[in-house]
Amino acid sequence: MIIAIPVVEKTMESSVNPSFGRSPYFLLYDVKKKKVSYLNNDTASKSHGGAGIRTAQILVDHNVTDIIAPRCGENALEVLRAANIRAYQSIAGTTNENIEAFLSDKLLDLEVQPSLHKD
Amino acid sequence: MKIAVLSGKGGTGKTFITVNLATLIKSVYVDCDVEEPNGHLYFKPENIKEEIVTVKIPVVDNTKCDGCRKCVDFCKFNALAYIYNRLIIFEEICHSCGGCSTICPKEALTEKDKKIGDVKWGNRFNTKVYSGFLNIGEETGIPVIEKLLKKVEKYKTELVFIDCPPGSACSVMECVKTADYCILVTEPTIFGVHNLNMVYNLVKVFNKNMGVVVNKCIEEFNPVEKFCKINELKILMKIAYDEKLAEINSRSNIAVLESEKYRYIFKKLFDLVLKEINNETITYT
Repeated sequence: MIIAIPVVEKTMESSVNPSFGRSPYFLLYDVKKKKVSYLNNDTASKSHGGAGIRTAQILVDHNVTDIIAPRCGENALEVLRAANIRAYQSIAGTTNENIEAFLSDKLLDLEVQPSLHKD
Repeated sequence: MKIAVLSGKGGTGKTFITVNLATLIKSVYVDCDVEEPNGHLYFKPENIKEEIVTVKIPVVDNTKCDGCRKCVDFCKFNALAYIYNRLIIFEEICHSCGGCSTICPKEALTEKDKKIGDVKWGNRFNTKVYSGFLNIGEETGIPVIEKLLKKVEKYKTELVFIDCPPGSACSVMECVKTADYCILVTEPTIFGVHNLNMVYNLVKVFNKNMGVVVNKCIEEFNPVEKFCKINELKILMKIAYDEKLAEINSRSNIAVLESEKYRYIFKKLFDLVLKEINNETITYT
């Protein structure tokens, strides 16, 4: 089981990045090995469009099983769903606190964020 | 002769100016503001004909796809994802470049038509009215604008007025490229000047001649004047802020048909624009 969280900085004390697709880094936490690593998300976050789709693809390719984020667009969620990745709503606090909450089953499912550009 | 009416900022009065100019004489009006076309509301054209606008989008045959991901990596807009031995296509993200189906080594990608909007045209008074309508949620209106501009190419002797989208992005560029002269509509505010500057720089790139119309003027500091002086831009006309005009507009009526006063103002603007265009022709020849 690998959890991915969009982060502002590469530390466990970092706050969760408000953006999913445009987040510069992702923290990856391997639950079994209790190992933390960071993923550079430049290719996706600096792309012309579809950053959420690209980010989701990268996370799938890194064998991520769960994500924790404050919000996520419907296209990205479609990719995550196709890969059976579960998405959870982050809570206020640091990355570390979010992982703790996840491990003690306190996080809720992330709702679809409808695009603001559509009716 | 094509005259494009532009503004960096929305709500300055592009449609107001274009509709009134196009009503004065026998002409062609083209509404390229395809995200929210409203010129037709003023003209209320009759005998309407229409055509749909389509773009090409990819279709995958997952039995032929071997998962090489060349298409996923190629797509600048990330319209494709490859998950669990299956290619997913996001139609709304696709920009119809055709790259994915060209690059696919297994010929697993083909193209299909997708409707993104319509062009409609009809007549009113002496004006031929063309409007483009982009479906809500579509990524880009450029194919609709291209179709509109192609439709009006046949008018060689008539004056063609192009009501452009606001801003200075790609869709505006399409309109500027085709124009012989550009009218830049702005407001006498700092915000107005900021956006005028953007569209001024765009028109300069295409080396087109232009003049400025300052709409909704009041007797106060007018930062547009300074900007135009510095950049040697001609102010064709200043139209005073006028509640009567706003009221006529809000009823979707055309000002030059409502009163002699407004007809006179627009006739003057029209003559000035023609003079500018003719001056250029003389200079060039």
